[in-house]
Amino acid sequence: MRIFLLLIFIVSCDTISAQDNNFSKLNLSLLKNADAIVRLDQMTVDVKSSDFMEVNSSRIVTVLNEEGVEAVHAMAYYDKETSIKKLSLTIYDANGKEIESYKEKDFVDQTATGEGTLYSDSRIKYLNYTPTKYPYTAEVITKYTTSDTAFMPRWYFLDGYKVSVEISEFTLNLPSNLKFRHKENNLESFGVTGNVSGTGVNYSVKNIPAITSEDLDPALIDFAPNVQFALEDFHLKGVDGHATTWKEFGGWIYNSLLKGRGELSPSTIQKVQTLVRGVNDPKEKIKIIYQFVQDNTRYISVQMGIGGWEPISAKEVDRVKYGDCKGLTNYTMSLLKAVGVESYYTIVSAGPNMRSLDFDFPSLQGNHAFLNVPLADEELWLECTSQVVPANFSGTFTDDRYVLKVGPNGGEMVKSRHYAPEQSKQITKAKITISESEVKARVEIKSTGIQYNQKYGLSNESKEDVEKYYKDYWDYVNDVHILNHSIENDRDNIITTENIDIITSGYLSRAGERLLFAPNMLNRNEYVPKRSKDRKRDVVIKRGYLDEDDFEIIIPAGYKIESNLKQTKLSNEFGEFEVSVEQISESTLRYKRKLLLKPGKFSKINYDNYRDFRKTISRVDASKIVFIKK
Amino acid sequence: MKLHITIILALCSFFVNAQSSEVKFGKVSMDEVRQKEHSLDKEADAAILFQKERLVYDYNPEKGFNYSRKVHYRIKIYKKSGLSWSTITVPLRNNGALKQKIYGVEGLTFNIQNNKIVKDKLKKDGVFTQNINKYEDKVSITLPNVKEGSIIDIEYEIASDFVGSIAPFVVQYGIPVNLVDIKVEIPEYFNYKKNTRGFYPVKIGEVTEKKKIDFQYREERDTKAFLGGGEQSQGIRRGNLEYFETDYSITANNIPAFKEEQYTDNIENYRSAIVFELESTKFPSEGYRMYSQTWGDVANVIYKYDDFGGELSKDKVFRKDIDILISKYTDKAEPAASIYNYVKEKIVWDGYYGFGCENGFEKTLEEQKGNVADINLMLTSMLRYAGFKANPVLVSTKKHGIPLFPTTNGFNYVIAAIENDGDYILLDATNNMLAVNELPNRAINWYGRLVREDGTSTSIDLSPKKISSKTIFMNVKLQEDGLVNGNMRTSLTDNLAYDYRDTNGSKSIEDIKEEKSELLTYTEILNLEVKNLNVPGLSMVETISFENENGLERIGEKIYVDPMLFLAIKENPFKMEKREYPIDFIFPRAEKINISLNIPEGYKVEYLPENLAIGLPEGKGIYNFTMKENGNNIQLVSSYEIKNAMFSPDYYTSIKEFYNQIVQKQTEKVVLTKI
Repeated sequence: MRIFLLLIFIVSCDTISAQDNNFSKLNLSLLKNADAIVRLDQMTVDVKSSDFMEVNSSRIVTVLNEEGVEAVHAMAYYDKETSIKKLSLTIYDANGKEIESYKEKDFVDQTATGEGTLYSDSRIKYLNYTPTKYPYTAEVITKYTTSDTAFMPRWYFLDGYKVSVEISEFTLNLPSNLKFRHKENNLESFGVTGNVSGTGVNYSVKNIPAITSEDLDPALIDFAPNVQFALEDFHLKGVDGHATTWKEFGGWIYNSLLKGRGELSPSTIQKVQTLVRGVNDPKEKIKIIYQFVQDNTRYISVQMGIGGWEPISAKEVDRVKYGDCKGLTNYTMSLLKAVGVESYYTIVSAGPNMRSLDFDFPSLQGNHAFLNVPLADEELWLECTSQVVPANFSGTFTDDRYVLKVGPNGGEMVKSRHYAPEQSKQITKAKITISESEVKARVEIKSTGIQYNQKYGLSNESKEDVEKYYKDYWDYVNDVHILNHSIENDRDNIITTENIDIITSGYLSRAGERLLFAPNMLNRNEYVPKRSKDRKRDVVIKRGYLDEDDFEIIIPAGYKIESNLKQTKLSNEFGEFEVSVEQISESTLRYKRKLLLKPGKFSKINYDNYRDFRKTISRVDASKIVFIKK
Repeated sequence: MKLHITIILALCSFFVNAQSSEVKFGKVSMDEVRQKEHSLDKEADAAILFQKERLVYDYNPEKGFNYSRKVHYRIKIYKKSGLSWSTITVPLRNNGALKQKIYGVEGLTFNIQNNKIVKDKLKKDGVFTQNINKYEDKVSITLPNVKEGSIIDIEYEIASDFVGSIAPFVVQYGIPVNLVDIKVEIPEYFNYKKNTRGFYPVKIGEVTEKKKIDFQYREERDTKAFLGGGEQSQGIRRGNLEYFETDYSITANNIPAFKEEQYTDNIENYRSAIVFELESTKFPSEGYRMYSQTWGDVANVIYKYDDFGGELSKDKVFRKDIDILISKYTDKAEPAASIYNYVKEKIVWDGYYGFGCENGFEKTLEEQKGNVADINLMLTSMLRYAGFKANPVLVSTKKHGIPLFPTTNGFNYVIAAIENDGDYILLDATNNMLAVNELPNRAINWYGRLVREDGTSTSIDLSPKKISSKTIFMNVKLQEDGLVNGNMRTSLTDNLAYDYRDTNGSKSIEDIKEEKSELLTYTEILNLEVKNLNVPGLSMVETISFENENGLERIGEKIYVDPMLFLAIKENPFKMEKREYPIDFIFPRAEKINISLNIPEGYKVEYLPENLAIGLPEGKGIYNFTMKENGNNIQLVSSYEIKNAMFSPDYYTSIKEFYNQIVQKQTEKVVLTKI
């Protein structure tokens, strides 16, 4: 099968070479692990002025199988500032013979907005071609012009897993009076050749084999080769800008997009001043204002023109009581100012994968805004789009990354809130009573830090959904019934306390005279990373946490312990794991467990050790105590 | 379409007899605004206090009929998590010639301030129109100043040119609905069938009334009026239209929030709604035109479509190929399979549904791809040409829902059937991995309708009658040090085989092995072979050898063994305490696992799990588990059978308990002791 495919390949690339002498002989190493081969990826960016550029690209992809179809990229985005000048797709069969050709009018034109957004200017034209046979080759030609020079394309040819690249070329041309910056990332060891001058750059690379994804590896963009570009004088949705440093960039955002949008009516100012009357502690004041925002506003998503970057004015939010992240952040900032608290509009690349804004490449980045409030001895963070998150809690959406604080003095790169593993703590206490037929447990779980993030939402869920949550949480407990549950969300101390009563008749395994019972019935960790024969990249653990468990276990009447769990005590660079079971009376056992997982970046040689560590945890967590009839 | 006529006036008598409702837009009571929680559902984060809809037809001499659907929602927000209900989205259809438009959007938010009700009015900036694609716009209406406790009134009107299509009146949502008042007035020219979906009682009243529409219009060019005459006066024409109409009034009270559940065929089948489907039209100018009445009529109507019955007769394009294909067979029955394979291998499905051809046979053959109808109607046509009694079967896919009543909209898919002595062989050539009499999961949905050339039709049960089976033989050698070596042979038939082929058919053996390995934490697959992976119809055999490091646990002098290793079902898929909707197993299935465990030297069996034999009511499912000792070997047989594809919710408790016992049994341990 494989060999057959190879033959087709050699034939096909020869034929294509005959048509187009840009193609060299196909390097067979490109077939390894590949679902598709980018035969040619060519992009030319012609900047004519700080508010106009033209981008031409042609991309030829040989698709080897179904999975490779998405590497074709038969699409183009547009909006009011960006217009598509050329868009076409041509399909060649395995012998290089043209079989289909599509023009721009054949492409589907639709909004590029997700479900939750009420309105957005952003649109897409795309075409989903149905292949009849593999392999086939698709050629996509696009040309667009835009006044949004704030978004310079990146040279980023290795943009997916299991796709190899035969040739990629990138050219940037610009008039000598326009200055630009660029930053090369991860180019070493890829054999990139390039040339950078005052009037542009060109880069090219050949024969880059496909890479495959790995468990717990760094984000693709952090190790894939790429080059970023930015103009010193740029243009965004009708607004001119100039920046070479984050300080300047922040200053531009402040002066062009924020300034003058913070005014409030005297009656609103008076209202919030009344709310904090008599309160001197600034932290208290902030909490009161934040609560006011949470009780009176809601989040909606609208992305219209510069409105995708500029907040709607505080006055407007005050009238309608809704806004997007920028509008609500700006509104909260204005309310705080009205009660004498300075705060800073902050731009972040939001999402659980903890992306930082590029510390040493200032450019238009990020997708979310929130608020930074510096106090004398600490720094508070306010997420203004949520009606339920406590003041000063950062969840996985915005935690621990470089963000841009914006103010009248310009921009400043700072790190957002980081929770040490010991702060992201969960304490589970329980009394477990075993009888011959069933097991009952009375459980209390306290969660803080990042672990709070996963829990506070539960306090707003319906009884049915909460029961479902616990049944999934304890999915290894067969036939579990939730008798009672309650959750207390202490927003002042940012801690949740869950109380749950459960019963199961499906947890014990019987073996004749014996009952087998795994004492870790309430916080079992079953995750083990995938097996890997030839680990290629570093191991990245983004967030750490600490779990402590303390269960009192009542032995079934008429039974005694035949064999107990051995004590486990492990400590290494990845964390600590301790388990012990102590008999404290004839009928009572005490199970104690501690699991500390540390965040970190470990070299690839540690992967198997990490996997072993997780395997041990998973195995010990499932180990059983044996009770035998007296 | 550009309008050359300006309507000056359109006097209609539509609302004359409309009952004046007690709930009026803009008037809310203090009690409503003060209410802290829903009286029947304390957990509701919002509720629809009132839903009013008025659908009336209007007549316009230039464009003919259209209708307007006026909607009023009154929504109460109880909790912050209910704030999303302060935005309502309205989809608008558009197909170029026909359009839907929204107008008369009004909104009010009511809050209490200083013991008074305060209103905030929706302004233009709270209404967003987004073009989704060339067929659809989305209008979002979001109200100002909404917080916990607010009440909102939203009103809008949709004018629709799609006179023969009325979107369902949905009356059940993720939040409770207190009161529903819907009126639908249908002129005699349109004959709709109506039906209710879901479990909650909805009252439908029906009266017939005489109606009259007066209209005036200015003529700017010669127009041919659709109906009636009228007198000419200085470019202004005046006309009227008299007819009977049927007024439906739909009312309902206290419909609880709609709960989603897993393992249903299509959850939307169970959401309460009233559905209107066009059955026939009878215009004075056109006469009677039937769209549907019975399933037989529907089949007949569809058969007459050019892209259906019309296309079926176009056998010229493939005659030569089929002649060659069948010439080598002497047995008359044989070529059916070879024609089926020919279509499967030659034509690729482009992913589009429909019972009407998109490309037509000629283009389909040329481009080697087409939609469901292009493929399966051509298959039908080829089989007919080869002399088989082949007919198309109209199908509604699982996603499309259960066809409630006989209308053309009830179907969205088509397969082929060969009639053979009162029996039917079903064929679907959209997937290369399918075999004769195998349907993909999407098409296994209740009943299909077989349509013959002579206009007769028959209902066909789409549930596979044949039980798909999985048979496993596993040999395992247990070693004292905890390592377990084994090999396992799995054979799959019918739909289980198809599922495997569909998932893995295009992958290399190495990739299948890799993916399977990754799913098994403690088991490493050393070798994997698959027989008949790409040979649909034959039973598919996978053979693996493996090494497992977690199958046994040594505690003291004893060894505790998980006799089923990674084959045990460790979790009951049915977790909820009760259930309202049917349970869908897609197809009947049977699984038999035979395991032979070789115990380590120097050990003997101290305990074996007991045998178990349980069943579902009426023998619709059985489970048997036996274990016995045989020298150094332990023989385990675990077999279960689910004989139905679909179970009513009455069976839920039994099914849940059935699985509980299976999980319990399969996770029991064998105890070995040192001799």
